[in-house]
Amino acid sequence: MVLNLLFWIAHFFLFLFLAYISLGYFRSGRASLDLAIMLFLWIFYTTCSLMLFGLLGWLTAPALGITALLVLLLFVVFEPFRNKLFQFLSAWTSFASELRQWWCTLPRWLKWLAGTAAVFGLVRFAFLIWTLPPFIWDSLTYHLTNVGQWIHDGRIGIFPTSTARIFSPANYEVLATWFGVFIHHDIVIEASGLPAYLLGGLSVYAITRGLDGRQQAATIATITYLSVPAFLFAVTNTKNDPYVAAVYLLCSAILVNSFLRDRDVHRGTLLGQMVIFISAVLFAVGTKTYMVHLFPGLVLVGIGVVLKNHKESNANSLIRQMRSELDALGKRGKGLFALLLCMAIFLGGYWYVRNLVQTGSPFFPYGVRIEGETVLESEGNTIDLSPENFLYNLQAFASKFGDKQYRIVPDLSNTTGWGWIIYGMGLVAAGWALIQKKEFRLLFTGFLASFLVIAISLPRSPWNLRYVIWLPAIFAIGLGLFFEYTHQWPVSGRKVLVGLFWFCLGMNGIMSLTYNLIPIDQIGSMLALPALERDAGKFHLQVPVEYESVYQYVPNDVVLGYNLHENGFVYPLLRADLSQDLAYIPVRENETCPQIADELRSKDTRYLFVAPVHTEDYVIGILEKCASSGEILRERAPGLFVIKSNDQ
Amino acid sequence: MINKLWNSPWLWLSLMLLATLWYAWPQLFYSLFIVYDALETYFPAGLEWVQPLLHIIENLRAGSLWWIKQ
Repeated sequence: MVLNLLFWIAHFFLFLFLAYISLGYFRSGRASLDLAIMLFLWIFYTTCSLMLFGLLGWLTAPALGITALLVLLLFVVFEPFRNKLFQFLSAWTSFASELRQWWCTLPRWLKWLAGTAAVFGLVRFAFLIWTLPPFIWDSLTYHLTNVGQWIHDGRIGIFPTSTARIFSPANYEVLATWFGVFIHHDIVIEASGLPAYLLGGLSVYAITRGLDGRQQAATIATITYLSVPAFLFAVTNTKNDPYVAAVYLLCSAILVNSFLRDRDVHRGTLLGQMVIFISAVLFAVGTKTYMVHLFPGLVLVGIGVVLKNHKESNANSLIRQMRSELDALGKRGKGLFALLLCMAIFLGGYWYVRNLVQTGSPFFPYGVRIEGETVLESEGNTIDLSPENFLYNLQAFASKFGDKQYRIVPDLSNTTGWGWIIYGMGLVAAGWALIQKKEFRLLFTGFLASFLVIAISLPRSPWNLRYVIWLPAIFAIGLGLFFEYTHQWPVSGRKVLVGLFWFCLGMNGIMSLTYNLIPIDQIGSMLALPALERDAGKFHLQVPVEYESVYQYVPNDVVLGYNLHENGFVYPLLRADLSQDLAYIPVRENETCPQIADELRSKDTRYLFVAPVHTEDYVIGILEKCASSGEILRERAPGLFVIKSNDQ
Repeated sequence: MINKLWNSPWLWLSLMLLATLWYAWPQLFYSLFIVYDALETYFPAGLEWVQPLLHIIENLRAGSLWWIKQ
């Protein structure tokens, strides 16, 4: 285990170092945006390396760790890299001093607020990640099924299972394997959203700074966005939406900082910024397809800021500048840009090309229908692009606005999940900013356009606003800018404003303690278990008790057969240490007991797991009949059928 | 006059306080239930006096939801 931890640290350090040395080609001239870009590069490089190793079948701690150590050793041996390595180590001192400088710019009340929020946030994240196993429906169905099976197999690929949704674009899932592969356990798998959380926060900070907000305004905007329940809950729910949101915000930050500011401030980095922009968009497309629907809003922001700031020189001057930057780049820089773009095309396109080759549809298992005409057949859900769907989704949004129908839970059932600060203060502040700040209007228009375009394709469901968890960021930015304006207010008015902010932040904090969902006694029951034995199937918030039968009666060195439907939980069957060999056993409606037993034997197992709600009723009916007739199969424990020993 | 109103802190503070009050129903009570749940788990004896109050709040909440759905 110690060796595996060393591999983990080496892998982290290597890609952080690579992100640092390549950052020189992508600098924006804005410290917060540079930090966001460096974090994005770490996410990007790490995902790419895991993808390559996974496709080659080397997705194991020793393969990843030894390679990382060898590369680091090479860097130590070769002088140019060695110098960079020392530079990287000393950069942390200057980073700490810059952080101290930033801290000194904040007023006392904000230091207290930011400090309290940071400590509370860290403790909350650590506690929830450590205590609770994954429990979100889609994660247990397909997101983590991919992650767990890939780690179990040491290979990224398709495997026989009950749900076709494992074919969905999966850059997030690839990155999530990093949180489990080195220790071969899911104890910290819920931390896999934290890089997106940081990236989202840094991007909001950079956008506010790009809109000429000072450090105080940017800090308030960041705290506000990071406390939005919809984003905060999703981050530790092992879902991919936080990554799309974070990348969307990063792209907005790049556009605002590249084009809205005085060109002299950051001359020479425009091309690098555009390469990061394209790479980020492609990364998000390979994470979840709906990034395509958010893109028009970004284009609108891009066109708007270019036209606003370059009326005289016109957009051609920007193209000329990028061309001259390209000419001035050395071979190494050109190579890096080309490599990054190739990697981005790979991460953005791999899943679609694979699906096209294997199934005939790039969007498998989803179909596409445009105005009632089926364009792509589906195995499951169909994305409906139509004016009716657009109107339905706008009406649904209106009914969810204000979070009046239900409490905010991670699935965002019939709510927006924007929380107290956005509704209590952000909407009013954004109204003020819309009237007062021309640049804010531009950005707001872009966000609105992205929202309207995605409303055309949103699936009709109570939970669909999880696709727009980036939207409250615009209100958070408005609030940050509004706070700056209130400097001229009398002290009493400002005190009320700060008091209200504390109150709203506190209310967001309270609901985040238990995801507004989990009874305290269930948290207690998880705490009572040893940390490494907190299997997802033992947490019965959504998982039926039948899953416990597997842990009690099936050894983890044999194959476990299972039959679940398209929406059933496969992931808990892998166990927390991802050690269980699984085999999917399809059962047809007219199947006989001997046929089922033969199928089990052909998969080298005598166990068959089924669970109510997660297995079709007819399958459970057949198995119960087999068990009651005493023919071949018997029910060993609830949900667990075995071939009788004398029939082996 | 409009300028004066626009620059008045009390306009913005009133709007924000009103918006917060509007949002408080029913979200405030969900949060209170979390606090109550935690206290009930760890300090069950000290909370008996809150029971009738919670009962009233729960009825009000159910009533308001019924009203919203109408």
